[in-house]
Amino acid sequence: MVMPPATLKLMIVDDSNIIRRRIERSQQIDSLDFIGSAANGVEALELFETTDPDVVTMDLTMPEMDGVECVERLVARKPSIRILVISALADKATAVEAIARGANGFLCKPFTDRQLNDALAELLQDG
Amino acid sequence: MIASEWLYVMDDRNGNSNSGLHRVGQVPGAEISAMKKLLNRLLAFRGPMLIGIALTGFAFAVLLPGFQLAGRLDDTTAALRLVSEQRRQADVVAAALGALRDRLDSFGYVDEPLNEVRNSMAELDSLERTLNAATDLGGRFAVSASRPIRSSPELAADLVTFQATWQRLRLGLVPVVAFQGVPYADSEASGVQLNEGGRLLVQESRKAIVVARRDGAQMSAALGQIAAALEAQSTQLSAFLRLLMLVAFGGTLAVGASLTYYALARRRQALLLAEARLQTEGILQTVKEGLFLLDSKGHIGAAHSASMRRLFKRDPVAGLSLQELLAPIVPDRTLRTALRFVEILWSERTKENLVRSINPLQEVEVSFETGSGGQETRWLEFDFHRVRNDGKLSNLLVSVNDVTPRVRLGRELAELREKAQSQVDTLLGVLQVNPEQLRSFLADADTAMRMINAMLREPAKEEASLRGKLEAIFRQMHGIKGEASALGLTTVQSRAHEFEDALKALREQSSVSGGDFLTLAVRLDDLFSHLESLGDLVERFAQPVQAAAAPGDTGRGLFIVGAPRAVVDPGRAASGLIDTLDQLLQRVAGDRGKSARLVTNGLEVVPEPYRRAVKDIAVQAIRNSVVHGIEIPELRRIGGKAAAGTLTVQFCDEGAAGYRLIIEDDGAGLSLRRIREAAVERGILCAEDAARLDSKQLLPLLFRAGFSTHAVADEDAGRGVGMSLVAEIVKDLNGRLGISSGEGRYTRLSVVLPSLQRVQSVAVA
Repeated sequence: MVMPPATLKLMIVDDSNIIRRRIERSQQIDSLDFIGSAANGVEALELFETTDPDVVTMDLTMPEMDGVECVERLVARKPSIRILVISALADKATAVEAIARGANGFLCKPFTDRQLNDALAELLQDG
Repeated sequence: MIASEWLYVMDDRNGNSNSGLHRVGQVPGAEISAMKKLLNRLLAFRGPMLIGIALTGFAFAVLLPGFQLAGRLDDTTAALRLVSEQRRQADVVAAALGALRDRLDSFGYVDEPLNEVRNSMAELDSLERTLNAATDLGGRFAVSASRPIRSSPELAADLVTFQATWQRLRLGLVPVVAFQGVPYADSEASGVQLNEGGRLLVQESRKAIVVARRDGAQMSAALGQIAAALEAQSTQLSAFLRLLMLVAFGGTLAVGASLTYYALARRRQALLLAEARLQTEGILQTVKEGLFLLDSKGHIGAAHSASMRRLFKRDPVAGLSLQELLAPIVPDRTLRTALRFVEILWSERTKENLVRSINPLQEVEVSFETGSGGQETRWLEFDFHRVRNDGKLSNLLVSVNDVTPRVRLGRELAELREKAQSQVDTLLGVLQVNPEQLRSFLADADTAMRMINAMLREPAKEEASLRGKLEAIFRQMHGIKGEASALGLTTVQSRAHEFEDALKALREQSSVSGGDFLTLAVRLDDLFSHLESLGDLVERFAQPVQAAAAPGDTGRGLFIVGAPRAVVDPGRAASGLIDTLDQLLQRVAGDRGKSARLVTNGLEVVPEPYRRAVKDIAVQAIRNSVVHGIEIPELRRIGGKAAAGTLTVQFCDEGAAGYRLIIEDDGAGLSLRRIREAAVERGILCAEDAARLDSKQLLPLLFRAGFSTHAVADEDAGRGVGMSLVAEIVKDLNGRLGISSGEGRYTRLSVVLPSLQRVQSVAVA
């Protein structure tokens, strides 16, 4: 019997529709299965409840609930979750705070397709 | 992880946990390093243990049996000596019995041989007891002759034989030795004769001789056998002992060799470590980068590069926390973020490669206090790498570079780029300007700059004269700015504006000294050189084209430097002035979302001596009108006016009465309320006075230096200088100035300049 390759569920959180679609279309990691996107922290938490994603890309400045708080809540609910913060590098302190609350890495906007895929691959590596 | 390829950290077993960097240099490969690690471990822990076990085993396997063997050999030797000594007792007994018989025959003295027999019997009894003794009286350390016999069945059998023969012999001897007294009787009659006892003794001794001959020989043989067996045993034991000694020798050699090897290996490792330390030290002493290790508590390790002291201007660095290192040189916010960043590097959740870009110390501006109380600013670049030991995060390797030259160069490049851009802007601005206007602007600006320069040089010590100077410079500069703005020369305009800012800052100081003007000189120089480069630019573009230009060509564009000023034809001058004013009007109106048109009348009759004054007055008045008077189109529509405001500039020659310049707009008019408020705000009037004064008394305030109803100054209004400049010009020309306004309808500025004939006559008089 052949085991199907382990797929990880990807959720994209960004208040910009363009960025969401960009990430969804550009990511080419075989093991990632896009399951939905959210425009802010509140929507992200709702989507998390119904889809239980394993991997999240997270914007920082969003209405309703910002990325830092959303990271903290997601990690509290699912410690094994992997989060890549994707944001503009206007404020390093906020980005550092997001990592301190449990995000695993940071990718600076704007990014190329290659940078996105490299960052996701690094994010999925063990250890 | 870069660090692990060339630098790894070992535990320091001497307890100094901070002397982390032990080995710097190329480690040939992971395998060799793993093997070395294993060997190190073995030597460090198992070596001494193995040697201890070997020594104990050696003691048990060799020394203890040797000790036992020696004891047995001792016993055997004792038994052998005893048996060999007593073997001759059979012969002694036989000889004594023979002597006894002889003495009896010759009536000799018999006590001596009898005693010999008795002695021998005692010896043999003692021998029998000794060899037969069942217990070891002295314990294992005492010599026991019976032990070898008890332990050997063969010897035990020989002992039984000995005992049997001895008992038989003994039985034969007992009657002999039982004799006491003298065996002879001495009588006169028969002389010396054996008495009864004597005869019995003779009989017993004869029997005993027979017994001794038979049993004595057997007993000797038995003792001989025992002796031979003991000798064989002794030889065997000696051979064993020799073998054991040989083994012991071998063992000692082996233990000695391994001890030596161990010591050598330790020494070699110590040498390697010492060498590695030296190399590390060498690298750390010479490397230009700041290199140090942070432990999990955030402290800097003892092994750091020497340049750390230079980079951070402090000593010692080791043992400091990162916070202590950075707190004096970076702002609080940066420090907090940096410490938080280091924290996330210790978390295994964080992907090292995915957080490099948010390193807050990637290029950080640091400032050090210099000895003289000043501040020195530099830029440092920090890089963090995780160091793992056996897969566990043990330290952070931090490298620090002074990137000040790079940052400065980058900034200079940016400045150059900006300068180049501004030149392009200037050029583009120049290309749009009417050549007449530009030429006259440059000439006017040059004059104004020279005046400012002269004012700056003019000595003045008193506060009042310094302040007067400040005001005069301000007006000159404001004039330049106004004209530059009218021509759309933004690069000049912005520089003049900056200069005004500096002047304003001085004006607001509680006291002004001559030294304060020094900074102005520097800024003035900047503006000077800018105007000069503008002139150069104009020259360069004008020269080649000028030759080709048709005389009298009034078109806009590149044909700039034309006839000398004196022969400017009044018509052309007027059209230049009208263009200037119209451009200014359109630009200022455009900037403020307003719309206006210019109507002029009579400007061609402005006499040459008044041309500059008329232009300066009109420029300031138009700016004021657009900023304060003309409303935005929506408001105008609500007020039932045309969307575009109208600005009229009229000049007429009134003969002997002089000349009249009227500048009027159809805007909102002057608001007495705003003027009152501004006057109170600026401390010119108290609230009661302001409320009491009427329009005739209030309006002259508008011509006061520093008075403006605008709270914030921009390039077109707000400094309160424009109208005071107008007043100044009119005063200089001995003219008169009036202002009137209808709220919501118009504002009219009216200037009367004296007739030139009168001016000349006054001058002649």
